[in-house]
Amino acid sequence: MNHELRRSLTDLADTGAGQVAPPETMIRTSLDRLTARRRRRRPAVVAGATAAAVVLAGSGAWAVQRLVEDRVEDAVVANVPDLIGMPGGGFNPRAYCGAPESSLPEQTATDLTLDHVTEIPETSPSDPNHSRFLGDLLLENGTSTAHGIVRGTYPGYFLLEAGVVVATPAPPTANAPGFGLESTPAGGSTDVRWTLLPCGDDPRADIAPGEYTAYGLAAVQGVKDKESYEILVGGPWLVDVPTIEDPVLATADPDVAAPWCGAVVPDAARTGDGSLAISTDDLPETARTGDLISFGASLTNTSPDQLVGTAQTPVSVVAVRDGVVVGTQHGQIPSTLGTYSLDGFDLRPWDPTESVSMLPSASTTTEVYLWLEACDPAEDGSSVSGSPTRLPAGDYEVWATYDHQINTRTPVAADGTPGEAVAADELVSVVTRVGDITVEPVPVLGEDDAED
Amino acid sequence: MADWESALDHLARTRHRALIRYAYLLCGAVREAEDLVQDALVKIYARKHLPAADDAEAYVRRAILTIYLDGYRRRRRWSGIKHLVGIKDHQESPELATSTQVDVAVALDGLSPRQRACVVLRYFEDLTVPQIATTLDCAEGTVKRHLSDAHARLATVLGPLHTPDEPGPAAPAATPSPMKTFQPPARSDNATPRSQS
Repeated sequence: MNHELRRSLTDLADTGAGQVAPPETMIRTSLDRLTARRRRRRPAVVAGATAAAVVLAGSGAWAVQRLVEDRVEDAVVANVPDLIGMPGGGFNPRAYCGAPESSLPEQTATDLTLDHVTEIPETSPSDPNHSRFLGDLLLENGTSTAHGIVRGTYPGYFLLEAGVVVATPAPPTANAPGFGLESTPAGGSTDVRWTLLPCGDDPRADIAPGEYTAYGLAAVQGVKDKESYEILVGGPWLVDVPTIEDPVLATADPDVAAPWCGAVVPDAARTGDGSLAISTDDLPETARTGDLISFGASLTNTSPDQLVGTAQTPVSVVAVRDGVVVGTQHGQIPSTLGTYSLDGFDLRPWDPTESVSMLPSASTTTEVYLWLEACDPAEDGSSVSGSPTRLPAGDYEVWATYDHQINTRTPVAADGTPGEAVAADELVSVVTRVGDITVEPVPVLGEDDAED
Repeated sequence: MADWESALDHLARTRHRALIRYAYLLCGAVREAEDLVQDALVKIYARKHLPAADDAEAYVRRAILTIYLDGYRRRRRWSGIKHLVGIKDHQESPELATSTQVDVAVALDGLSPRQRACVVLRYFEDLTVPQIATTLDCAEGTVKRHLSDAHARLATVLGPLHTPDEPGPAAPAATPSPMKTFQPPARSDNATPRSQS
């Protein structure tokens, strides 16, 4: 009998909803959060700002966060019309690195504002590489028609120190994903996904802790017609970049097995009954903390039988220290890596729906991904939430895990003659060390290199 | 009580259960569903311009979905079949009443966030493919691919699915693709036969 999915989802939803507390607690907590947030917003006018810019100021320090683009070095400047007289056309915020505050672009749009709003997230997602930012850019549409952020450009922040630009929005890329032209209706507002990259040779360096002046920047379409673009500039705002602390690494948890966070790895490689082995020649010796690195891992049939079966899990590789899994598993591959979709990990040829056959000594290789972030047992093995997640610099072991379902075994003689196939129902779990890696720290923009 | 407070209070009291059901199917855990709904309420009612009363729930549902997807983009969930671990987790959960619900929960956990969102929007919210595409800001073909991939993964746990009126992609060819066979590396003249090693 076929499974009735609609009914099952409804039943499941009812069961889940039956477990929650009455709404009063949620209402009270939501109102408290909103009240605190609204107290921090004090609209004011700063001399020198344009009439359409709204400045937010508040008591207490603000923190600055970054949204990282993993492949900045591959960014291509989109063919956006030259709005601000840049030589050669095209809008490239990176050209403002080192420029004085007076050179920043001015707002050309009217009745559209870019706000910087702050809120202290209670379950803030992790930022793998850089400082934590508590805030958002908010596009507010005071016009009578819908407007949207221009496809192909990234809204973002400029940071200034002593009146000089030290960090900018990421440059626009062709075919930029995600933003589209999310339209903000007349009278509405939209949270704007933003970027921020430090100036200098290494756009993935950290921004040094301290106080900065921030401006928001976005290009908006639809003010006059679909062919023209306008600039929005918000600020200045005072922001504070905090110091990044190393996370507390996971401790041993006897209730979980590798590759899950806190699992204790075996003293020697465990390969089920010895039928399968995982190895690699491509693991790099060093990598920067927070990075996602990929390399080839080979699965080898080390038994004397031809094995027919299916993959039950992806091959997971994790960082281990002192015998405990402390690194996070990868989950999603950034689309900029090209080969895999944003939503999943392509298991081919180890697709769980596809049977594969391996003769004795046969190998097959797949790309695996090692993410140099700390895991948090509370997050079910994914990266630590609410705090910096990069693995502390130092030496780690790299372990691989993989489950394979063997459905048929066929003995093969030395001369290659197959025997009689035997049905099997074996789940082979491989847990093995594939190498070591030295994790290097992220450089900090503006800090001098220390002499050893 | 200010207008925004009254509006939030009214929406949360009258639509609390409906929002929790939706969030629960997306994330699969009661506590996380409560957090999703609360974060969405704060996000919407923190804005300077509040939505009209009739539109508020739609805005909150949209925010629930966005927070769910954005959260997973950053937290990097493990995609793939982890049902061997998932079964253990859900069997110990007091939330689920029947073994069928355990199976469904485990099956949903095997989906990627976008696949799961598409399944929930299609079979729980009863949106059409074009409506889902608009909600997720992606092409209709992408939605169909997500639904097709989700079907395949769900079927490995739940068995064949009965989903009438499913506008999925064309049915796969009747002839199955040949099984991949991996051969050992070619043996050189100096190689030692396996039986002598």
